Order: sequence, then C-alpha cells, then structure tokens
Amino acid sequence: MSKVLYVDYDRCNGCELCALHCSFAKTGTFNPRRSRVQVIGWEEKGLFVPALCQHCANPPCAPACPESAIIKDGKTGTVSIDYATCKDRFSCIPACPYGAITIDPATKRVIQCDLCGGDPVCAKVCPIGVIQFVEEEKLPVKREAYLEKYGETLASMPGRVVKEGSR
Amino acid sequence: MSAPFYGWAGCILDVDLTSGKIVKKKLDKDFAVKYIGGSGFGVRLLYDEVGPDIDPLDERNVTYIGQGPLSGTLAPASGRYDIVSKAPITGIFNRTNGGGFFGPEMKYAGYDLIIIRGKSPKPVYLWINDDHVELRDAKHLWGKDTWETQRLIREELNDHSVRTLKIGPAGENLCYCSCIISDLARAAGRGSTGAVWGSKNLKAIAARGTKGVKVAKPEEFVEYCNMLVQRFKQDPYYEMHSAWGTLGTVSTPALIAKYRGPDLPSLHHQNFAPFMKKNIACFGCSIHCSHWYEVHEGKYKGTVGEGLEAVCTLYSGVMARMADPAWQCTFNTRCNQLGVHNEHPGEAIAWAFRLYQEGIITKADTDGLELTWGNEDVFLELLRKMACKEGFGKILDGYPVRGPQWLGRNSEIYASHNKGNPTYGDGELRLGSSWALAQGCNTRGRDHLTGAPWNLTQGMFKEMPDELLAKLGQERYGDPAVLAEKWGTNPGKARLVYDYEHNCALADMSGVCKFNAEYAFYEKGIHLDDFARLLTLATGVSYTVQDVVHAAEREMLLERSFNAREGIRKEDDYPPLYTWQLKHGKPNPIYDYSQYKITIAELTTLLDEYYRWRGCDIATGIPLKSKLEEVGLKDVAKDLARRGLLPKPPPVFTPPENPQDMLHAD
Repeated sequence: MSKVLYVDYDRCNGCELCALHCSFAKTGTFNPRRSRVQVIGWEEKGLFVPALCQHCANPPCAPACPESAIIKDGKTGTVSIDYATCKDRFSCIPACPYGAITIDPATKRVIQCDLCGGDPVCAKVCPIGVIQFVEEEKLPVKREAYLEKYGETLASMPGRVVKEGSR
Repeated sequence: MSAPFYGWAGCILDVDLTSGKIVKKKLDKDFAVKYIGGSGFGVRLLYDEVGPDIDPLDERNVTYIGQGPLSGTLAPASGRYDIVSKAPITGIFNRTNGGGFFGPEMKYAGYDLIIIRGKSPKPVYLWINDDHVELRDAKHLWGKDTWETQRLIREELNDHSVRTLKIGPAGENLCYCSCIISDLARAAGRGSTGAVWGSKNLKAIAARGTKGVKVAKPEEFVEYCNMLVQRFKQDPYYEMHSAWGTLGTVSTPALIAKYRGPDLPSLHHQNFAPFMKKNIACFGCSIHCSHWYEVHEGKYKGTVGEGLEAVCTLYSGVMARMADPAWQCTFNTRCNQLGVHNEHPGEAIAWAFRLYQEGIITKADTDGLELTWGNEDVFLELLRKMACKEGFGKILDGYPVRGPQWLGRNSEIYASHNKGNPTYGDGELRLGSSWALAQGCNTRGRDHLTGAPWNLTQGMFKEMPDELLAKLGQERYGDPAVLAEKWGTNPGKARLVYDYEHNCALADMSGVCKFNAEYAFYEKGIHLDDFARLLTLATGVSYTVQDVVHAAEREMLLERSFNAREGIRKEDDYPPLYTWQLKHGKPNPIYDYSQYKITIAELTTLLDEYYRWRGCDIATGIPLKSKLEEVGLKDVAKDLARRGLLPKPPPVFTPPENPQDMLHAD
C-alpha cells in the first residue's frame, strides 16, 4: 500500500509556502521557480493549482520520453527521472496532465517531485492542509476527478509549465 | 572582490524614462546595512533627490519601488513591496506598501530597488526578465483597467507567471484617488502614487525572476521563521485575522461609532459569508486574510474579486450607508480595476451626500445625479466619474482640500483631513488618546498603517479584554494604565506610538507584512528583537535591537525632515479637527468639541512627549540636530541648517527608564 500526495485544488489559497519550502529543501535557496511544486494561479477565476507529480500508475510522461529516461519504480511506485539518460528534450512536459514537470531555471533540466524520499516537505508545511501525504486507498476524492475538473485549465495555462521554451 | 550579498539581491535598477536609459548599479553594502531596504532606501534617496521645489506631478519627482532583505524568503509573509514618492494628494512624503506576488518576483529577478525618474514621451511599460530589462510600448494598454492590463501583458510576453504592478485609468488621468495595483487586488494605495506613474507615462512594471534569494544562515533562519509562525498562531487575534482578515472588525460597535454612521446589520461580517468562496493568501503567508468572492445572483451577479477589507467597507458602508454586501464586493472590484484607492471614494462621496442633504449642492452641481444616502447606482457612477475626472467627479477626486476649494460655499467645513490625506468626520478623536496622537503625527497624513495601535484600542475587541491590556501594559511599560486607560495623558502613550511606528517601519523596510508583526499581533507577533534576529540571520550582518531601532528612527526622522522642508509644522501633527482649530483660530462650527474625551491641551502634552522620544523640537516638530547626528544623519542636519529650518537645541531631556528597552532582548 503506497502513499500519494493528494492535492485539494479547490481549497488552495495560492500562498506558495509549499514551493518556498520545496525550493529551500532542494536547493538551499528561496526560489519557487526551482521548486518541484509549481503553484499555477489563474487569478481571475480565484483558482490556484499546486502542480505536483502524482506518480501515476501508468505515467503518460514515460512513453513520451524518446530516451526512456522516466522510470516507474515497481516496488515504491515512485516516478523518477534518470538524469544520465535524459537528453533535455522536454517532451515529457506537455505529456503530464497535471502540469507537474518543469524546468529548473538554474540547471536547465527537467524536475518533478521525488516525494522527498518518502517524507514530502510540502505536505508538512501547507497551512491549510491542501497538500496531504496519504495512503491512496484513503483518498477522499479520486485524483482523476480533479483532472476532469481542472485538466483543461492546466493545459491552457500559457507559459509557466506546459509551454516549452519560455524559460 | 567584494563580499557577496545575502538577503539583499545586490543591485539597483535606475530607469530614466526621459532618455530611455536603464542603468544597473551595484548596491552599496554600507548603504544597505544602514537603511535596510524597502521604504528605508526610498526615503533616503527621495530626501536627496526630490526637493521642495519639485511638484509631485513634475517629471523630476521620482518613484522608488523597494524590497527588503527578507523579501521572498520564508520570513512570515515576505511578499511586500514599498513605493516611495512625493505624493500628489498631500505634496509631502509618502510611503505606500502593497502585498501579493510582485515584490518577491522583482527580488528574484535580482533587484532590491527600482528607481523610476523622468517622463517617457509615450506610454511605456517596464519589462524585467532577470538581467534583461527593457521599456516596451504601452499604447495598447493605455486606457485599460488593471485586470485587462495584466492579462494583455501576460499574453504579449507569453508567460502566465509574469507578475505585474500597474495603474488603471485613475492613474492615467492623474487622479488624487489613484493607486498602484499588483496582481488583481493588492494595492499600494496611499498618496496617489498612481498619478505619479501616470504623469511619467508609465503604465506598468512586469517582472519575472528566476534567481531566488540566498540567506547567510539558512538552517537557523528557517528554524526561526517557523518558530515565529507557530508563535503568532497563538496570538489572541490570529483566529479573527486568519478567518476574516480586517473584515472581521466591521461588526465592532466601537469602530462603527468611530465612523459616525448607523449600525447597518447587513454589513456585519457574517453576511459576507455567502459570497466568500475561500480564503486567499499573499506570497508566503500563513494568515491568508484575503478572500475570493463571487456574486451569483441579484443585481450584482457576475462580480468576482478579492481583497475586501474593513476600511473600504466602513467608509463606503457606514459613512455613505451602502448596506448591501454584494454591492460592497462590486465596489471593491471596480476600485481595483480602475486603480482607485478604495478608501477615498467612501470619504469623498459621504462628504458630497452630506452637502446634498444640507442643500449646499443640488442636481445642478452633480451632473443631474440625486445624492441620497445609500444610493448604490449613484455611488458607482460617481466612482466612475472620479476615475475619469469627469464633471462632478473632479471635485470628488479633489477631496479633501482642492475639491472643497473648487466648490466653495464653505463646503470645506464638512471635509476632514490631516496633512491633506482624507478622512471624513471626527473619528480620529473617538478611539482613545494613542490613536488620536498617532493619526495626527503621521508622516504621510492621517492613516492607520504606520503607527496607530489599533489592536490595543480599549473596549473594542473581545480578543483584547481590559485585563490583558493591563497585563501587557505592565509587562512592556511597567504601568498597566499605558494600555488599559483609553484616555488621558499618560506619557507612556507617546512612547507606545513611537514604538508602533518603529514596528511598522521595520516591517516596511525589511519586506514582511506588518500583519505578522506587533502591529496586528501585539502579544505574539514579530517584535523588534525578532526583526534584529531575522535580519542578522538573513544578511549575515550583525543587527542588535539598538541597531534596528536606530534604523527605524532614521526612517522616521528622514520622513519628518522631508516634511519639514515642505512646510509641515507642529499644528499639522494634530488630528483633523484640532488642526482646523489651530489654523482657523476657532473650532470647526459643525462639530461639538465638548463631546471629545481628549482636549487640544491634552493632545499637546502627548505630542510634546512624542517629540521628546522622536528627538524633535517641541515648538515646531522638526528633528533636532543632536538626534539626527546620533543616528548618522549629519548631512540631513546640515541640509536643514542651510535652509534655516534646524531648531535651536532644547533643554537637556533624560527619557525615563523603561522596561521596554530590555524586553525581548536576549
């Protein structure tokens, strides 16, 4: 039974504390654009979407990679990027329905959530419990339900995540 | 090799709109350490660059957009930016502070301060993409509201993550009610800074930054920040602020009485609940005091927006009797879109409603509009006219000084202001001695955000009962009465205002929201020693409590010196009605002064005591040479002396010993 990051998009207030803490945990600096969780704001709709890798059972990013550099760990369920194989083609970015793969502006390489090795910091710091690290069976809502609701929004966001080359 | 910067980005962006020249200057480390950042940088440079001969709308006026060393870090709510200029509405110093997300973005792009000078020959916006900085044509943005401006800029730059600061039509039209909006609803409201941008043909600044911020002691810094958040969550006020923001105060009887209107039960905060979809936060904030609202039915169906807060609601609601919460949401969104400071219309229109009721003005003056209390459509139409300076709107925009002058007919007796900054009525004399003092001696004109101890007002909030006030008064000042007594001339009250000004100034200089500081959480918010510790851990420069107090004193003394040069004197440092009395030699005829629980003589006692703490001349309120020199502003003392403004030294004064000095120091 594996734990997953559950994101309640409806309630996110857009504070970006998750991204700030994530960037600090991963880079030792404060820089939301280097965070593995990107809070995508659609302000005129009052909508904020913390885009986070859902470590899908069948991750659509994996077949999109011509180098097969995206690996799903059979045991832990974690999706990760093999940087030795990755050739920075960025074809995984538009393939992710959650908009969860982004380019680190410092290294110019793709990054996504690695679950902090099993104890994700974003879930610990969210002040209103929008991000939770829970067992998949205990999820209050199926993750796919959110995709139905916000998939189009995520896909239509100009620039930040889904469009390549903006960085 | 110079030492690396921690906390600060290390660069100043100097933009001359007249020539189009953009210069990047290295931030001088000594300057940074001394003035910290944000408004601290702004006020120092404004003092040097904008003299009394320069009109606020002259192209020689300069606007400084500043960041503090804590901006963009995990310091609580570090999403602020600070704008300093000479203010069109008052003609004196102005610092105005806004939240949202622009501040950190500018810091991440690598700049502590943006200086905007000169005047562009055509409308432009400034695009900052890390090191790449350019002025772009804004012809297609001119005339657009703030929301559309942001949308168009993002589309043009093909990046939804770009953060923007911009003016709306009000700023373009050089309105005194104009402001600068970041994101959708975060405003740098005071001082009509939007008109300064409009006069320079600057529509917006757009930023995208990817460089992040480094601090000197990262682990300790984050640990300290986390501790502060955990601590202020225990503050008595936390629950109200996090659930309702300042809107939680609009049902408070004392506050409603202050605004001299009827209690309109429909405006009690619970009645906004049907429209509030969820809380919204600024960057890095755990309090999330703002709300996203949506109106789904009725006359105002389709209204969406955020950022509704108490003062806007109290001024337009209680003063002008606008009782419908859905209307309030609509009004707030329109103000944000037009780039109008959302307090000004309530004050000006309440004034006009009163004149209409008194028969001083008629439909012939108001472009045919019927100015009846609570008339929703008329209010919104007047707001539009204000932002366009159209017809009667020009008079309203000119409230509280120019408008009544243009109108004549003795209408100025109904207007109310301090140093040209508007209010309406006599509310400043109703919330206690320290409130009255702070409203009067304020450097940007009457205002509650730079030193008024609002959360300590006796009998106002259930969160701050008398027993707690007495306990805190004993702890901080060795005398329960300093906080527990609402009125009177306890000298500790002057010290309280002096301390509050420092707490607010340090928040604005370092780049955090004062709603995380003592200003909102008196008991458990960020205190002076916390500022010293945060700045030390962030910058690697050792700041003691004394150092941060000196930095805050420098800020306040520079502001006061700037204002002295503009002709501001002691009589301007009283709340509106008493300034009226001093300047006219008689009381304002429409008010009954006998009802006020503090007299002009008592206020003078407090003001004199405040001047002693502040190091100012008791006769004029101008900073003293000795004090200026003590905090490292010798050049300012020289400048004031050269202009013949420096007061004669007073008799030696020894401040009483006070436990506050020791409190919170390790």
